[in-house]
Amino acid sequence: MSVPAGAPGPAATRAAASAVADIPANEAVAGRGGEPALLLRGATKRYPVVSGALTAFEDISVAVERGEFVAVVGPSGCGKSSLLRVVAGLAGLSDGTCAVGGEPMSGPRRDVGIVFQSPLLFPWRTVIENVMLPVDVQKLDRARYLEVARQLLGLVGLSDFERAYPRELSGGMQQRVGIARALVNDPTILLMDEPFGALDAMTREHMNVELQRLWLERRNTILFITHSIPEAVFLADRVMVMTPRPGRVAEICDIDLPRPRPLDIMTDPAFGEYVRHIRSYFGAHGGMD
Amino acid sequence: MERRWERGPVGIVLSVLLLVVLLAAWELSVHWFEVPAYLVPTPSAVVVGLWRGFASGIYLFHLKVTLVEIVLGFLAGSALGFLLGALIALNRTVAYFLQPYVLVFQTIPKVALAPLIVLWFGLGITSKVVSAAIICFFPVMVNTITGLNAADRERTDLLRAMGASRFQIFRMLRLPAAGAFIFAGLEIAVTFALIGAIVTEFLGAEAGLGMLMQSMNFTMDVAGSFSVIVVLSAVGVVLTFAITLLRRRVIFWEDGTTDKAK
Ligand SMILES: Nc1ncnc2c1ncn2[C@@H]1O[C@H](COP(=O)(O)OP(=O)(O)OP(=O)(O)O)[C@@H](O)[C@H]1O
Ligand SMILES: [Mg+2]
Repeated sequence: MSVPAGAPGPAATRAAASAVADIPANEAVAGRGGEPALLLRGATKRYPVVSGALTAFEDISVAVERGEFVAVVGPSGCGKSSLLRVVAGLAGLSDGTCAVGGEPMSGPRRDVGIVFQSPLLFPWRTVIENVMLPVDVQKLDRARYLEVARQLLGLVGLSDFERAYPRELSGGMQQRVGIARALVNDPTILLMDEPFGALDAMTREHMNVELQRLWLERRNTILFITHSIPEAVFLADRVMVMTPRPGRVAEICDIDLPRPRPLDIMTDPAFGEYVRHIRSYFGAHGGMD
Repeated sequence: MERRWERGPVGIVLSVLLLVVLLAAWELSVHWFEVPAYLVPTPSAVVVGLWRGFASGIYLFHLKVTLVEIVLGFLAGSALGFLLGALIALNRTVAYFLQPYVLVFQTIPKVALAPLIVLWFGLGITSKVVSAAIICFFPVMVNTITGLNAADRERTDLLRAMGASRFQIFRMLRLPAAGAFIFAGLEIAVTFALIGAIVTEFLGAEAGLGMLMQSMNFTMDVAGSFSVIVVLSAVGVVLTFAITLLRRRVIFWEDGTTDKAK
């Protein structure tokens, strides 16, 4: 673990964080250690199927520290989404344990936010009301969180679209609303399942930069699933590489690149080396881009 | 784009032109072939019948009665259809016990119940309201069930992950997602209510447009019958339009198409 819990960001990051001081500070920013944000031990998921049981993933053990950005890459069908559903409290494990903030999972938690591949906005709510959805569900103080929602819309560059309806937005804009929605109640863990998978390459790079900036300012713990190895290397502190189904941890690779990372870091030899190294796991299968 | 063209000025002119041509052809052929007035009236005779009916206040009196029957029957039948549909969609146990009865009852031609309903509820408006309600009930119930089950799994999971209760998922997702289906049911139901009320009036009533038509048939006033049909069609058009307006207001986010994507 090259990036320990609550590692203070560069001075520039600190300054940026104080610009959004109204947003409740994440514990990681306060530099509190303690329990890892997410702890998996021997986690295994089997699905009952006609021919017995299908093992989606097997014996996964990993500790994600608070404020850490962990990307998960692996071939299609290796159980990445299944793993995410477990951490979200939407499904249980067949074996092993999963604990968030030191507490064993027993269902959905309010301090876990989630972003899927499609934005999944609610067409009958305006953009701002979509961002406020978790606040409504969790019956939080609307007046206070309306301010937070506005700031987040500003951070994702959509201040002018507060009152628009989702169908007036492009795919990339909708996904940014989805990210603001996942962040509004300041979850300690943000789960993202191929959030930019449906976007074109240019929008995707732009979103990567924005997500990094957002994370540097907010320092939530992020578990980020992707099919793109360069995306994983660009964003993550650590990349968890999974084997083909049944998915196991092949390696957890530390990405030692300075932050904030500009887009042209992708041409950096060190960057290329990380990508090549991770890709070597999939070379034989050729299933990754 | 296509829709706009259909409703464009050219389309309207063509439709009106066609109507004029048809009416003229009708008027002329009745004269030429000397069709007896007690079989097929001329359009002009129908217009005269309409004018007389409204001038004397008779049509308005019966129209009010029929409208009250339709509206009450529609409201009662749709409300019950929605409630039972929601109950079936939300509760497995209820669904399990009710579904067989619902299926059997659904196959009964509801209009065939009208004579019995008159027998049970008398010649007043109650029997018509009951008839209209029964016939409205099914399309609304079936569409409510389909609609409430139409919410996608991903959005449901998203709400669940936020910690939403079953009721919150119903209120924030399933109900609005069912809107388009429920309104489609209501649009069918409102024309069904009209049919239910009129047919029951035919069978025995103290007042109403159906009863008026029945008495005109006895006196061979075919032009009068036709004019009542014109009024009934107008009622149908206005009621359907009212539902459409309501739909645009309530489920404003839908295009008006049944495209359920996203
Ligand atoms: N509810 C389910 N019931 C049965 N099998 C399932 C279920 N959900 C997933 N699976 C199976 O588990 C395996 C892993 O699925 P999962 O969606 O987690 O993969 P993934 O790594 O997210 O794949 P992708 O990269 O294509 O999204 C697959 O073989 C899938 O068929
Ligand atoms: Mg997946």
